[in-house]
Amino acid sequence: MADARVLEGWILALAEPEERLRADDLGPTVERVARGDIDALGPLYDAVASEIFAAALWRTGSRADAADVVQDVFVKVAASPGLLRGVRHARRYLLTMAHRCAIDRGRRAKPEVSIDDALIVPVLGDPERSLDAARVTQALRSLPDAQREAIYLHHFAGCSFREVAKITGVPTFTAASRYRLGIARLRAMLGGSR
Amino acid sequence: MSDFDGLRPAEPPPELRGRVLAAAREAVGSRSPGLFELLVADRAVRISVAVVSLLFIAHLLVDRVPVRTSAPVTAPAADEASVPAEPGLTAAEQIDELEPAL
Repeated sequence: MADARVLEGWILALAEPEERLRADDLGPTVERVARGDIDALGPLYDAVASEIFAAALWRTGSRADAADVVQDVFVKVAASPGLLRGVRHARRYLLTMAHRCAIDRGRRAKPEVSIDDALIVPVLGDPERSLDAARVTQALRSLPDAQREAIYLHHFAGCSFREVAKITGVPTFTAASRYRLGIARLRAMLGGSR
Repeated sequence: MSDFDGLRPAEPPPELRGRVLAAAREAVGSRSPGLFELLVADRAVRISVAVVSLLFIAHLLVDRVPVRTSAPVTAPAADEASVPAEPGLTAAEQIDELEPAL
C-alpha cells in the first residue's frame, strides 16, 4: 500500500507540467539586461529578488548570506549581461545561479556561528501565527539544506519537480524525494508539537 | 501543506535593493571590454592585430609558392633476373681495360 502511494507520487511528479515558471513576464526586462541596459536591473530586481533571496535563505539559513547571494547574482549578470542572451526561463536561470552562489557561500561559512534568522514569517504580521512561524522555522532548520531548498522551490516558488531538479542539478526523482522526505519530517515534527 | 497556511518566506531587507544595484553598477563600470571594444579604443592593440594579421597572410602566401623539386629518377622496370643498369663502362669495355692485368 505504501509502495503504491510512493509510486503514485513519482507518477504525479513526472506528470506535472514541466514549465510552471514562465519567463514571459520577465522576457522584455531580461532582453534589456542582456543588451547591457543597466537601468533594466531595477525592474529585474523587483521581479525576482524576493525569490532569489528566499531560495538562498532557505538553503543557507542566514539572511546575511542570502543578501550576499542576491548581490552575487546581480553583479554577475551586470558584469556579463550576455549570460542572459537567449535564456528562455530567466527566473529558473537566476534561481540556478542563486543555488550555486548559495552553495559556494555555504562552503565558506563558519559552522560554529549559530544563526536565528526567521525563514518564514506570518502573512501581514498576523500575531496569532507568529508562534507558528517560529516553530516552523525551528523545524525547518532541523532539515538538511537540500530538503529545505526543495520545499521552498516546490511549495513557495511554484517550481515543478523537474524544475527543482534542473535548478539544483540533481535527477528529478532526487528532487521529488528531497521534497517528500522534508515534508514528511516536517509534519512529524510539527504534528508532535501541536 | 496546511502547516504553511498564513505563513510566507521571509522577504529581503528593503535596503538590499540599493546595495545590490550599486554593486551591479560598479560591476558594469569594471566590466572587461571585449576584443572589438579594445580594437576601437587602443592604438597599440590595433597595431598588434594588424601585424599579426600581416604575418599570417604572409605565411599563407609563402606556403602557396610552389617549391621546385628535381624530377624523380626512375629506372626502367626490371624483372628479378636482370641486373640493374649501372652507369659506366659496358662489359666489353671493361674487358679491354682489364686486359693488361689478365
